[in-house]
Amino acid sequence: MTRNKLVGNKPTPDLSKVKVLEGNAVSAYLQDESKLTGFAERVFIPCDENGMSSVLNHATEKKVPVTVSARRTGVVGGAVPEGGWILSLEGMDKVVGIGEDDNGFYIQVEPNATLRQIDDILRYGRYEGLEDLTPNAISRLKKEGRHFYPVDPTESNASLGANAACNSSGSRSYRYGPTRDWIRRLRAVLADGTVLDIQRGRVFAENGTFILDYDGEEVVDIPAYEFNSGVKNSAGIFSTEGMDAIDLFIGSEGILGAISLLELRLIPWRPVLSCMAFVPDDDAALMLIDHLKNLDHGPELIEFIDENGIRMIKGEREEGCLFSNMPEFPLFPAAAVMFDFQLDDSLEPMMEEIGSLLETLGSSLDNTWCAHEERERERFRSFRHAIPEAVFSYIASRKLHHPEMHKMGTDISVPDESSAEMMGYYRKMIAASGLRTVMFGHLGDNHPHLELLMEDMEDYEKADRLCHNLAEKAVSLGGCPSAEHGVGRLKRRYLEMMYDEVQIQDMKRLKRQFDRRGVLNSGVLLEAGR
Amino acid sequence: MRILLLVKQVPDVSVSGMEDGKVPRGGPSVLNPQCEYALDAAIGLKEDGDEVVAVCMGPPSARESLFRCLELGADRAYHLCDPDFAGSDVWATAKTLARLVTDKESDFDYILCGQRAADGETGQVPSMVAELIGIPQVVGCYRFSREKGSLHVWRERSGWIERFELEPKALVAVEKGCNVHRLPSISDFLGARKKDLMTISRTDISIEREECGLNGSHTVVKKVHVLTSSREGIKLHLDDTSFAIDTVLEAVRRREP
Repeated sequence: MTRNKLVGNKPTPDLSKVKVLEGNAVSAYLQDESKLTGFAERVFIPCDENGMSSVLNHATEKKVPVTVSARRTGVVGGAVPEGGWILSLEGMDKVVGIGEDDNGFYIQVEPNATLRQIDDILRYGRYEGLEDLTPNAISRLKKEGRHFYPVDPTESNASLGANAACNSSGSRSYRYGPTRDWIRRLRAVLADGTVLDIQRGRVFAENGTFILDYDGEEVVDIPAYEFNSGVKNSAGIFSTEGMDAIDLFIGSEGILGAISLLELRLIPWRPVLSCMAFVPDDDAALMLIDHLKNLDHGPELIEFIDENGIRMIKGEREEGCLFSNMPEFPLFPAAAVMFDFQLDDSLEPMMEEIGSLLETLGSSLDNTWCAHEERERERFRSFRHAIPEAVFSYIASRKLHHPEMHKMGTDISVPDESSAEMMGYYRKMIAASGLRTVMFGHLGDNHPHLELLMEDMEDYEKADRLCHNLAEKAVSLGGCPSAEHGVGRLKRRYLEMMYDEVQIQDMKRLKRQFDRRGVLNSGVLLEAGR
Repeated sequence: MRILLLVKQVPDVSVSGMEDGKVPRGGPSVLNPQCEYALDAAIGLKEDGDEVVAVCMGPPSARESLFRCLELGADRAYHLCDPDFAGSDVWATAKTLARLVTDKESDFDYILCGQRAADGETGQVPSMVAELIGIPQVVGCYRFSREKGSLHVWRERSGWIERFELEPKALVAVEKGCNVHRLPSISDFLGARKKDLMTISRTDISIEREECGLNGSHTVVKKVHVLTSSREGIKLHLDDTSFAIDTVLEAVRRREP
């Protein structure tokens, strides 16, 4: 068999087991966390891959656009329909089983299963009802001890299929990389109902092409550009010379095929110390982050909360709304840096080194928090997650006066060498805009989130311009304006910043080769019908 | 003042929840929440020259909970860790803890502990320890202070607040406290690793194999569930004694409360 051949299989269409919703029942499916609202005629809810295939086949025959929808936790409108039908994967949320190969253990899930589900199974060893995908895999895993799935997108209720479709990352990607690196195998249903089963390391592009073998052979050309993997990047279809076929479907936001099954690699769990250091200001925090990045045995994650963020948290805490389970800050005013280290022998000398640095920065190891019990570590995680919640709550209060206002924030990453320049640009542009902001997030990956705290629609327009300028600057530095949220429907303009017209045409051609009638997630990532 | 702090490590039910009245095993463990209150109380009472000594019986993983005590201000710790202790019920646990106290730390002033553990919910160990050592006890406390060498503790009972003054050699079981758990600093974390944490096996204290662990246990926690009363109480005013007596007798006759 040719190394670049993708063999498909088309099940006999059977819609009898697919649930269909119409009328008012559809309204629950029209929004995601972006708060963008769409419209649709019907919702199809299959309970298995055959059902998915049948719905998509039916849609292609009727030439009706279909939007794939899972748990709708996305923030770029990827699950928001623009007419047509919705393919809801809510009936496919099982964790199927555990397997083992030369690279270790893996877990097989249906697309609507969540990170929380697999975390619960692995943390408590709740393997009842799971299948052994290879002989005695579950008993072997029990014997080997606790394992975990290292990708940690902050939203643990998001579906794993959606994580794969937009190549999610999160705080731990600093050490472990994004979702892409952890997918061993997937099954994808194409627009005409054909199912592809792709295992990593089996099918590779040759001379920029794959051969799609179903209903006759067809040559598929991968885009000619080199996908920017030098930064966190969730914008555009992955492409590189000799690429693995599985990577076509990871991060392409469901426009080439809808994922029906995933196998995710697991690694042994190790105890970790979570730390949060408070330093007098943002500059000191950035210096600490630089130092942490240059350590020999660096941390698992490096997260940042700027002075405004800490001030906002303190305000919310005093009002008793959020963060009320956290103690008083050991230093204020302050910026904070979160980092996790593995609990081993290298920890003590490293902490002493960090302590010396903190003293030169006007702080000390006394102005820190740390936690090793998981309950306490979970408090850190909630603390970090509560910042965007506080922003949401502020924007919701402004929206009462300005209904057209939406949350506005950045999702920009840049290469290591451009981090300082980008940070300088953030400061210059924020000062020039006069807007109130909060910055937090994955500075280990040069990927902070800047949230704009707007008062009125005049601010909203300023914020929109600011985000646009910041995105352009990031692209000019080799960065990405959509590092982990995907492009969806809301950030298509950023795609045009990153890719020229020829490259976008390459993506569209590839899309047509997989989906002749352009029905699958039409308008997501790429503009519909052009 | 020397305070002995008896603590327990329990499965983290705040994450897992109960499964049919049982605590799921195998997941992450934490310092028992009411022991966390006892730890706060002990550290709050501590003055210069005082010593807080944490004691925990449990598997090797229980060291984590002792480290938490050391990080948050305990001065040293004992870890009762031996396969012979495994499977202890309340009686065997109380006996083992009491032997450690009488054999190794009889020079204590007060013993503080959590009222009950989140996994068993029996609430019996504190009283048993006090009885076995032969010292007075006050359970269900929520407030503490030191006055002229003695310990003052408060507890709430049926809408009344009781205050006790305790001379040294007494046990206090803590039921309530601040829900904002403190977080140690990295300095505290590093400092705790240098403090004395002694592992104690069965043969280090005067307890026979038959007296501890499964061998020395008589009970097992099969299920934990919350009891609720569907009957309403009767309020009696003692200024009319004969009416009160009649009401009680009538209730007894009707087998009502």
